Amino acid sequence: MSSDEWRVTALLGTSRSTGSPACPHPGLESVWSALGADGPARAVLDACALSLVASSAGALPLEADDPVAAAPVEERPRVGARRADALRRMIAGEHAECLVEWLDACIAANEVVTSRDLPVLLDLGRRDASKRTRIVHVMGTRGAWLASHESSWPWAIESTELDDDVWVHGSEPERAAYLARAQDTDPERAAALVTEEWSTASADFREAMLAVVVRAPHPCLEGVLESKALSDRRASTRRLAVAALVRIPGSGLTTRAFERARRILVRGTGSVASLVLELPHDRELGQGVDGLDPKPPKGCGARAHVARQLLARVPIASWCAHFGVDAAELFRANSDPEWRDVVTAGFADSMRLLPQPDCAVDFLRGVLLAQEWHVGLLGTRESWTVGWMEELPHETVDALVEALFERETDVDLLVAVLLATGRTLDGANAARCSSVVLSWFLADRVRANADAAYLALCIAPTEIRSVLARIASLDRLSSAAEAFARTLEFRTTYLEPSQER
Amino acid sequence: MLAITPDQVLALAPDAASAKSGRGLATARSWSEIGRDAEHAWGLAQGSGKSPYQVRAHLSGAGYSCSCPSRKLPCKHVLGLLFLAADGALPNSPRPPHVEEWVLARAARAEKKQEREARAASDVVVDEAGRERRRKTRDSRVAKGVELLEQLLGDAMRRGLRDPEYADPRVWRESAKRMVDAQAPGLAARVERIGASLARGGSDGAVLREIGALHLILRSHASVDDSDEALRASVDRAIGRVVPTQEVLEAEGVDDTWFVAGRRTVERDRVLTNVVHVVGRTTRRWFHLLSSGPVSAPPVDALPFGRNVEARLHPYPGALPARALAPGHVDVGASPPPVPEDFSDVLARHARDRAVEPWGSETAFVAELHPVVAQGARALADRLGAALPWSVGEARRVRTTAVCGGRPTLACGTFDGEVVQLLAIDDGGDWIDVSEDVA
Repeated sequence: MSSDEWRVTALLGTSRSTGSPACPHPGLESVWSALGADGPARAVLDACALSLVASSAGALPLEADDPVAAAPVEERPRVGARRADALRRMIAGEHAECLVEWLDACIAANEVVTSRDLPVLLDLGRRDASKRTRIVHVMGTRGAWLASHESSWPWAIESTELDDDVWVHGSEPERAAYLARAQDTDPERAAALVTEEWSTASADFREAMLAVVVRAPHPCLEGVLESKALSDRRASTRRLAVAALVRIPGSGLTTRAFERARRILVRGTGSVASLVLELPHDRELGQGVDGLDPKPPKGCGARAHVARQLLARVPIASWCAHFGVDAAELFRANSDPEWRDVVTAGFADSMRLLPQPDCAVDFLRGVLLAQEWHVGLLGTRESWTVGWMEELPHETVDALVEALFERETDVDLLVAVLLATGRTLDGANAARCSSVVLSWFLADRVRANADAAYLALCIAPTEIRSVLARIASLDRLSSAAEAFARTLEFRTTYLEPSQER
Repeated sequence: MLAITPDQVLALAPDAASAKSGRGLATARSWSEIGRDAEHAWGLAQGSGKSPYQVRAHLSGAGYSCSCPSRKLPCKHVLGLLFLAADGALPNSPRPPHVEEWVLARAARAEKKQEREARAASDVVVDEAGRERRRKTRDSRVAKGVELLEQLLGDAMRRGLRDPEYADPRVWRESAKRMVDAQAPGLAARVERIGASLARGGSDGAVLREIGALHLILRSHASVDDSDEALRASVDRAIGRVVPTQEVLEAEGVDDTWFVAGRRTVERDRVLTNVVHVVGRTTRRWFHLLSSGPVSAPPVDALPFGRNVEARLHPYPGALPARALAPGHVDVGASPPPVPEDFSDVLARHARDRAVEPWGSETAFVAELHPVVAQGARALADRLGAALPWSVGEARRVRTTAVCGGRPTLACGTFDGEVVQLLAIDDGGDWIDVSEDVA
């Protein structure tokens, strides 16, 4: 019996083998013979024991496969303990709405994140592209080094030096970064790279390539998007393909969507201009075709879900031209109580897929004023309307807020916009904003804690202490006011580094 | 002056909701009459009731009290107060009467407990005959348990571990229960591990290693009468004899300034056990200390993680004293860990320890390490480039990679003869816990 066969004997049993096991290792011969096992079963147990001790006590170090180049030394200061602790609390789910402000505070102080927090912060950037630019600012040289060695965050190393060899020999993150560089400097070449690579790329890399080019897809991409990406195995890749095709002017997908959408969104027959949604028949759903998501979310029918997706693929300007109205009239005309929400959601999705800032103010007024969707009716920030408003350009929001301050009758709409955008107002508007928001809490008009936390974000840093003092003087606090105060207190932990202990 | 860190407060929380609520209360607005002295913190928390709750806590987290009706231990108010203490937000001030009263009551209770224990100890001394009778009963039960286990292992080898009977985890779990009945909990835990490994489809190697360790203990037990006292104590401990605390404390202690280098929490049968590894700055000796508690009231670490403490450690008897008790300690602050070892030193120490106690498992160490790939698998390399396999989940691997940045970095870990587990690492001057909880 050879030295390894005791293992086989232990698994199959000594009753099925002939003879006793041999010494488990040539170096253990003297110990083995001294043990003098009494019978084959005992010999296998002895071999087990000897082998355990020999492998444990005789463990030898290994040699590393490839040396890893060390990260460059970080020149910028790390965030202090209070700021770092605030980040960990946000990552754990507390006051997550404050993260953008936290990042801005670090950028202003030229600080970098502590190394241990980099992976979760970069993961956050993977899930939320809107925070990536800020994260790249605070990740420092250690973050760039980490992103170049891990496959999950190619967007984080887009700005580092990459030569042409990278596309052929680099890791997937480096190749995605190379593609992003090409997309910025020569979108046509980027489109050609994606087209060449598509059929041999991994599922992850196919998605990563589309995530890069979706920002401004070149018309040359339409072929591969239509023929391959729209029917990709992965739903997230299909969604990116739809977004890219909607952003290619005059793409086949947009044209087909408009052809179908104009059959379901029609002018009403009454004296007042109104839109009527006629849901597609079951047989016309064509689910799975053109990247249409076949599974409606909970609480939504399959036909309404398809209608919303079709509306999302049509630019607002196309509807204006089709009905011969301007954007304000179009949104006002969406008044059919039965399907108004679906149409508004489709319009909002369209504005999100294809930014159309010209329509933003009209849309806000159309949704929030004409349909009386004020704070109380707006629900919470979970509503789809909010998701759209978050993407409004800051100038648009500021202009809207400025206009709303001028008209006392629009205070409710002002609070709704503040709530939806979570925009911190400073300068001349800081004190006015504090006063308006506080008056809402004093009147007990904010009910949801999540809304209260977002309203706390609108208070300028210079106003926080005085607002907290006002709140502290109250005899009784509602739950929402308590949440408002806690968010303000939390903001001081990273906005006032001088308080560092 | 005692210090507590936010991580230590988080570890005290009975659940995530309490931790979050406690965090929310860590703001001066929620409190009045807050303060602290060298050992205690206190304050009045405004709750939903008419009068504020009186909250008091020892700054080690080992004792607390709150007048709120919550059944959670500790409640959110205690956690909030300790978070404030960790933030350094409590002013030093004289104890108010309600705190003084509580501190005195605690001291009185502790004194009574000591008296009870001393009385119990003296009773045992008086009842020498009863003690001898109990020892004989236990020895006879253990002997029967050992016989049963020898029979089980022998039969398993004769029929083979792939035989349906011995591939069934229930057989091993049932035997583990019989070892508990035989007052051999140490053997029971190892047999239970074989059952658990089979149940989760673990490797044959893991089962064979556990069987090998059991066989070593059983063979040592068979010849224990010919062994010296230290080895007898080691075998007794491996079988699971409980050594009375008093007996450990009466033995000679080791004085040093100890660096609390690593910690981890192990859960078994809804009981949490915190293990802390300490190394002496002068003696360079390693010990581990345990503290246990139910899941509903997590235990406090026996010594504060990442700190240096002056203490006399009392090792449990055995040929390789590894576990110890610390009846008291003085926190002397945080400072860098002692001089690190290289893997060649760690392997040599591990081999020496196995020669003394071959069924033992882990060797704790502080070394300068960084993640690498060796033979296609995850590994940690020391500053000289020697690597050992590393058992780690993906999230912790990436986190450690981020902290090291490709450079050898001070870290604490354990080596079990096969793989390294990382417990703590230095992140720019902060000694942080990177252990994974073990079920």
